[in-house]
Parts: sequence; structure tokens; C-alpha cells
Amino acid sequence: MRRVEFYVSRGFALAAVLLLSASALPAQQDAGANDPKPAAAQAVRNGAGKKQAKPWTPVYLSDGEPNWQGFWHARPGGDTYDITGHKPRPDFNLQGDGAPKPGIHRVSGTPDGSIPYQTWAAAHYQDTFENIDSPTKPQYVDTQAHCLPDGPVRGLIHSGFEIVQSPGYIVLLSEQADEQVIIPTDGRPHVDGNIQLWEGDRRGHWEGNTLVVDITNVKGKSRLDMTGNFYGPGTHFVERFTRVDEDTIAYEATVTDPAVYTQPWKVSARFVREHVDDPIYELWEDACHEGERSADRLVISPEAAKVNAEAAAEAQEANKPPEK
Amino acid sequence: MKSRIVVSRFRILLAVTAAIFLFYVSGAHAQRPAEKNIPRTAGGKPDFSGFWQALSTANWDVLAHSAQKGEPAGEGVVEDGVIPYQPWAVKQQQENYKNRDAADPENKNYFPGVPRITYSPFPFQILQTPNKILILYEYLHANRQLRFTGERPSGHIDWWLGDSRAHWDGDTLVVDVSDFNDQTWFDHAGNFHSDQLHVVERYTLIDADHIQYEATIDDPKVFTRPWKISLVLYRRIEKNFQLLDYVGYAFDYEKYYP
Repeated sequence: MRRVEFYVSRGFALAAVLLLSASALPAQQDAGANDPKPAAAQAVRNGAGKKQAKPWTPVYLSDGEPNWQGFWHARPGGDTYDITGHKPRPDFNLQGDGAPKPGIHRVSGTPDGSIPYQTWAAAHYQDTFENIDSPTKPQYVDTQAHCLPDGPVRGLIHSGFEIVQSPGYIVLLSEQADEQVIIPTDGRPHVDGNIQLWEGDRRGHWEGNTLVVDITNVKGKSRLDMTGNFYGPGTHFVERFTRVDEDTIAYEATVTDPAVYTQPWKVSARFVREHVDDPIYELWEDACHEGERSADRLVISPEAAKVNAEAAAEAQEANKPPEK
Repeated sequence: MKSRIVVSRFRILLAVTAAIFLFYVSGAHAQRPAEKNIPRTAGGKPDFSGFWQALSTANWDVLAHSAQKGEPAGEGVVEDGVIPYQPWAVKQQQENYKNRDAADPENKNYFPGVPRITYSPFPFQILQTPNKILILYEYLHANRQLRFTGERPSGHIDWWLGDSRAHWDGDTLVVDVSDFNDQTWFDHAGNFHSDQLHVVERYTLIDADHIQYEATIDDPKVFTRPWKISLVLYRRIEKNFQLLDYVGYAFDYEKYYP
């Protein structure tokens, strides 16, 4: 055979091989443009102050989901003393005139912005609230003091978090107590009803620029705030995160549990992008439980409680704004 | 003449195609890593995303050991079967072993350190992005960010799970981990380290469902030379598999809440 025909026939065979190989490789999605730097650069270019809504074009990952990656923090936020805002924290968070800062009212959908407890639940809450400053029983110690996971709602309001996305999953990571929240967006069903999880079982789906997260299977043992507001193992949360602009996510969760509440109620927050101008910022290990040294001293004796109560009354008197 | 040329060209094409077909169906191509159906990202890197778990007995003892009550026997994961302790450290490990049931930091539900977190008997999830790889562990909701960008923080930091900086070595993910405290053990048998621990992990996909995991351990305060462990990680292929939780330090408090 002539040399040219020899190589031509090999060429056909090689082409066949290449086609076979290409079709055998599974197509894999990369996370695409998840580098927070382009967003930061865009913010600087926009030149607007942080308090103004910026003109903003949604950015998408290669799998089509909106790119929300980066660091976020509730503003106002950073402390969950009382989620209803009706009980300003007495000992600090004082304003310039010595009065406590007004509380942040996050609860809505109820007549007075309070959590609509069943009678038994209201009594349980009141008992906890009256004893949180001087906990003479273990149940009066806030769950955060034991580094227990904050769980739904409180976990997002109390500390900043980082959003990381990968095809089929949105992950929320908090440095505080190394909290991790995993939200599958692949449409899988919830786990079996007999499983209770500290963070609950979460399922997310997108409605345009709103992420809707359905939370079931909660253990119901995390508290909603320091005063003792609580939920139970049957509580159902539906969260709506709406990207308002480049730097802002509006959050509203509907909380339903006929065993604990007389009606569903809502809790809201606003998350603001942070560390935009600090591209080397990283979440670090917190190791909350590992660092705990006083766990056995959190519950105090009745005598110590009495001393505390007297000292608190004195401090309140001393911090009263001067009479006009 | 013409007909002979046409026939021979056709025969050669047929022979070559047949050879290629036979090559594929025989599995001979499996010898070459590139054709093992390893999942890859759009950027061409091996994709470790998914759920994994070790089946080894290393969490009880990284060296070969007989069965004990509640502990299966195991062949060990240490290459050459020897942990090269300095003389003082040999005694310390023996002391640890004697006290292991009370003294193992695992009892307090503390983060188990690296590499013990890898072979703790719980699944973990790997999520892979261009800038970093997240490992989310079911055990104690531990998580690590294996970062391709950024630099190690300056100064020694006493972390439980260290600081992890990653790079690619061909198809192997290499993770350089340092900044440890001295509070963890490598296993329940009392094998230990100091805060000078330095671990280099290597993750290589053997095929789509298995990772060869290797970790080279060096610690000039405790060992006479570096040493290496090696074990297989198995993909959890059950439908809709996901992490649940194990918040070990919460069990004693659960009865008081909400």
C-alpha cells in the first residue's frame, strides 16, 4: 500500500478514538467566578458610599445559580440579647446618655411584635428570662455558653458568616463556634422525620434573586436569643433571602409550630457584605468548646444569685441618666 | 493493481479500528490514569466533590493491632509499620496507652486534629471551588478550608485542625498543614505529637469512587524523622446521601433545653 493511504486510514481511526474519548468524559461544572475580588472591584468602581443602594448587576455561577459568595454580617446585629427588642439589655449597650440602647425589633406578623407563645410556652419563657442573669439551674444557662450550635435564625444574626457555593450546595460558615450550615439546592427530599439535627435539615431553591430555604427536622434545643426565646422539635422555618443590591441581603423567616405558638410569626434581618476592602480576610478556627474552662461554674448557688441581684440593682441605679 | 490498493487500505482501516475497539473493551486502558473515568472540573482538575469516609481502624490505632473489646483488629496504616519516636517520646506514648481510656482527648469531644479527623468513623463532604476546597466533617461539625490562595498567617497559632494551604501536583491535591497545638492524639492508642507538628496530605483519585489518602508527618520535637500513613477513602454512593450531625459535647446538656 502507498504510504499516504496508510496514514489516511490511521487518521480516520485516530479521529474515531478521539471522539470516543471525548464522549466518555463526564461533563463537570466548575464553580466558575466565585472569586470575591471582582465584586470588591466593582464596588470600588461604583464609588457609592456603603449606606446607599448601588447599581448592581446580578452575577451568576457556571451552574446558573446567583453568586452570593463572600462575607456577610447582620446590620444591626452581632448580639442576640432579645430577638423581639422589647427587653433592651440592661447592663451594657448603653447610649451616650447612660440609657440602654433601644432594642432591635425583628418580630412581625403578630399584634405587638412579640412571639405568640402558647400559655405553657409563655410561662416557660418567663421563668427562663427571670433567671438568666443568675442561673441557679442548668436550664437557665444560655445555650451559647456551652458552645451549642446557634441553629436557625440566631446563627445568622449573632455573628458574621461566609457563603460558599458549589454546584448543588450553598454553605454558610460562621467563625463563632465553627458553625456550619449546608443547604442542598438539588431538589432532594428531606431526611426521615425521626432524625433531629441541631441545624435542622435545610433545602434551598431559587426564585429569581430570592433564595428560599425550608428548614425541618430541627432538634429544637437551641435558643433564639439570650433571654430564652425558644422553639421546639416540631418547628418549621421558611427563610427568604432576597438580594437587594450588591452589598445587601434582606432576610425574613416565617416560624410555624402549633405546639409552641398560637400562630405563625416572622423574624427579619438585613445582611450587609463585609471585608470587601480586605481581600486577605479569612475565616479561622474558633474551637469554642475546646476553649471552654468554666462550664462547671456557670450554674450558681442561690446565695450567689442574691449577691448578683443586689449588685445589678446598684448598677442600674448608678447608670440612670441624671435627673433633669 | 487499483483494486489491490483499495482492498489493502480498507483492510488496514478495519484492523486498526478493531484493535482500538478491543483495547477499550479489554480494560487494558485502565492502566493509564487519564482514562479511569475520574471526574474532572471544567478547569481540568480532578474533582473530589462528594461524600467520603474511611473504613480503616486507624482511629483506634494507626499501627497494626489485635482486636480488643469494642475495637476491631487492623493491619495499620503506617508505612514500614514503625513510628520513629525519640527515646523520651517512646515512654510518653506508652504512658498514654496505659491511660488511654481516660486520657484520649476524643473523650472530651475535642476536634481530633489532622490527620485523625480524616479517619474518624464519620462521613465528610468535599466541596471544590477554584479558590479553595471545603471539607465539611459530620463529626463535631468540624470544617477545614484548603486554600489555594492567600498566605499562612504569621507566627505560630495553636489550632486544633491547623492551617491548610493547597496546591496541585499533577492530579494530586497536596495540602500543607501547620499551626497545631499539642492537644490531640493520632489515635486511641496514645500516639501523639507536639505543637511543632507539620502534616503534608496528598489526595489522589484512584478511580471515581476511591481516594488514596497519604499524610506525611514530621515533628522534630517528638520524632527522629518524618513518617507516613496511607489509607483509602471510599465514596458514599447511597442515593441522596448527606451529612447528619454528631455534636458530641451537647449530649449531656440536651435534657435541659429548650
